Amino acid sequence: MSATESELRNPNLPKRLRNARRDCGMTQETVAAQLGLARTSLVALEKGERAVRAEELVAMARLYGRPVDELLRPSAPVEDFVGQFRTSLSRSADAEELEQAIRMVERYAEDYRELERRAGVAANHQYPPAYSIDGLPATAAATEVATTERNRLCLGDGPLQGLRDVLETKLGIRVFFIALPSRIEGFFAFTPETGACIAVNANRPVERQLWTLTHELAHFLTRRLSAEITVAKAHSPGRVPAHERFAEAFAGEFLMPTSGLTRDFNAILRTRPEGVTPGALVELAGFYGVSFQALVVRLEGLGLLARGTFDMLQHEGFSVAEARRLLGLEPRERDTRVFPARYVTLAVDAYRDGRISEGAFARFLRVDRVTARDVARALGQLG
Amino acid sequence: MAERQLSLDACVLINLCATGRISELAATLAIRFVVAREVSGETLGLRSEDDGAERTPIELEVLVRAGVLEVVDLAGEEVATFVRVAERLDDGEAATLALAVHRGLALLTDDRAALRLIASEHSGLEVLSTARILRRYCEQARLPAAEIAACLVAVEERASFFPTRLDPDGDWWRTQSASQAPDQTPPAST
Repeated sequence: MSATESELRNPNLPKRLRNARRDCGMTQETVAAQLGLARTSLVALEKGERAVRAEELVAMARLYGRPVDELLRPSAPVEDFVGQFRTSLSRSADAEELEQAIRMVERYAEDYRELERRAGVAANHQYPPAYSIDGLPATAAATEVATTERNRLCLGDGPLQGLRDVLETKLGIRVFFIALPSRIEGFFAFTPETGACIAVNANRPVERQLWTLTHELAHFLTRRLSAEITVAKAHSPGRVPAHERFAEAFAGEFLMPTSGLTRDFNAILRTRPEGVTPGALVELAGFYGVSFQALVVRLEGLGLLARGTFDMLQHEGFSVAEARRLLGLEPRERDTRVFPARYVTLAVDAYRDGRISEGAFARFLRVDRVTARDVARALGQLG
Repeated sequence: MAERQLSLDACVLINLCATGRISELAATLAIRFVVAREVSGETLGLRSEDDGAERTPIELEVLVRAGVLEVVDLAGEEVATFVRVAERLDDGEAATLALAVHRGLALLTDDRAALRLIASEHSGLEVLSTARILRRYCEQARLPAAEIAACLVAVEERASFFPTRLDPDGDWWRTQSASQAPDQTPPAST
């Protein structure tokens, strides 16, 4: 069998070559010149009208900085992942950095799909129907959707443990924690090939990461076909769109359900008839895994604290960090896992069973080979 | 004595560099390693002796200059085979296999995916593992037990490599590496 025959059997190679060229910002003219081809030949090649010779494939892979094995994946490439964000990117001052991050998540999501293909398992998407919130005020919609979804997922009404894992295992959302431009909290994207993907800024405090994850969940539950970028509040002045107001209200209700939070707040009140202290609120915020500000604002919204409490405490110079120190509360560890646990498990299993080579395994995990071996030994005994 | 050429993949290359004895091994066994450009293009490193999180880069140029290793480009039918195999293995592994197939070289690999493919489609190839080549070297060089242990422990510690239970030389490895705990691992110079 010749290489040309094998290429002809891969109907997705032309698309992958076109996408790889586009990703590195090269024109057809430039590539054709570098390869010593007529531009019309490259056009035909990218349209699948002309077979790719093995030497051409190797030359193009080098030119685009992509491994040949990736270009030869038999599955259809992810289409238009970055394109979903085109409008947001065009208005963004850090468009280049953000686009790179979006492309990175696209590659991660594509790799996830490849691992599932190699393992012979289907995607674990278990999506509920999209909730309709048309005509409802943001807070009413948030309460309804958050309560229904908490009940559906059997999460009770207390603090959430391991929300990221819940989203990954119970809903099949792909969650990646990556470095994003400092003004970006996270983003949400959806394509038929990858399903729902959430990226969270790995450099933000753990409480903010949890809030962002929940904010993006709100978009998934109500507007999953619309990609969305969440910008830090300080960087998004002006009128907040209705879907953003809903997402913020949803995050508050989902992370601090009215019933559970009221119960826990009242429990504090019973032991402190003279009134709740800021220190007790710091503890309660830690219990729910949210920031002090998010908790106090939520309690104000529920009428359990007077409006303006947070502003007053800030004005008085109340220091959350100092309170945490005096209370002996350890800072919570940031989630440093780039990939979902299932992604890593699929990669380890594929490597252990000889379905992917060591080089591919290390590349799936974005680590060097020695680290990849450590991961394989820790998670799946070879031998 | 004429040198025998072996097609070497990245897995074994890392392991042999971890011993700090790759040049000595090549001289003792009268072999010369052939490495595909696709392998040499990958950034390879070893765990540093003083900091487990740090990596000491493997500098192939040193080995090339010493005549231990030759980096080659695939050509002609090798490219076609490489592309065909790259549908199942990563580029480095696919190129290593293509070299062995077309140049009639023995192949040095521990990679399970590669071994699976070789067993099903290239069963005539001679395949050597890290454990096998190190065993041959240790026996031919008549290394004392402590040096053998130091050599194997260096591979375990700096390259995180341990032969599998299926490796025919795995028992030899485990016995030797545990036989005499070395005071210190040898420097992993390339």
